[in-house]
Amino acid sequence: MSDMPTHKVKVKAATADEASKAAKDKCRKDGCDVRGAEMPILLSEGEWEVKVTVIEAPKKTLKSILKPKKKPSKKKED
Amino acid sequence: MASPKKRKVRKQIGRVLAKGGTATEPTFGGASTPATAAQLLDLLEIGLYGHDGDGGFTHGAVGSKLKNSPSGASLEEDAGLETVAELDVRMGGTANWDTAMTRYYLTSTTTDAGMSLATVATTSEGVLHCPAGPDAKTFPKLEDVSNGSAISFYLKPTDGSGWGAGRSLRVYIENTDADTDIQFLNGDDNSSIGSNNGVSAAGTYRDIDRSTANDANGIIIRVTSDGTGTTALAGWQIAWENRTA
Repeated sequence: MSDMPTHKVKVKAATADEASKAAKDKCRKDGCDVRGAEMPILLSEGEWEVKVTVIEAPKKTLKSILKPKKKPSKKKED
Repeated sequence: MASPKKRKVRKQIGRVLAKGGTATEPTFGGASTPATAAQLLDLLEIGLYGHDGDGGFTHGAVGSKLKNSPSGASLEEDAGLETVAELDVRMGGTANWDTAMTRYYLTSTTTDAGMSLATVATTSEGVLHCPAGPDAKTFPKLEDVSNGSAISFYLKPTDGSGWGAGRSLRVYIENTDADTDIQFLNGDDNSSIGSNNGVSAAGTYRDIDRSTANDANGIIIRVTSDGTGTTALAGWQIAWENRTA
């Protein structure tokens, strides 16, 4: 059974816990359903990389993107 | 004279007591009350497998930081894994985690807490020890930890702050065995949250958020070992706390 996908997110934070929260918030803003996170990795002072466990946001299909706008219905003249 | 087999058993029990076992006559109910077969079996198994069950822990016991409370000695964990006191320092969300936590062992007894969905463990702070964990009673069926097939531990941390919206389970994984894989699953749909395969250094952790995939049945910790041959498997332990997401 394969694991849920993870998003690698780079954030700036003072502590690992703050980095986790910031990374999760970032994924939520991107429309992902966040299910957890792995231990943050300190890249440099104040900069962290966090693998956030997510369920991907449903991708927009080409059809929905190219869907033509409805033409305004013509009003019947009396 | 007893048969050679009986003499060997008696010799083994004698060795356990001579090595520093703390059992005395009162342990067995006094000089006039002989030890029961179960007590003698415990002593024999301690000798055979190297575990000291006396004064130790029982599955699901709470707040067992100290081996012998009056003496105040801290318990030495199995295979050099972190002690409860060291884990306590890591736990940021729970004050006095060391006295609040509950100990569990991976066992073959499905009626034990955590060993089936029907008997799900509900503690918000705890440690899951490998079968050879500190002071464990022996579980011979799990000497080779699952021997190729997975064994699951069921956890829904509902006590204390509960497992409602906005909760998260922080899980510390320490594993010194390259052949043991630990996978975390959502209990409601069996989706895999993530895996820690092989060796994980002390302090390795992951956060598992409460979601619609685990709000009913909680989390499943699935342990698999692919170890073969006669080499003894090294130890592992998983410690957790329920905290705000």
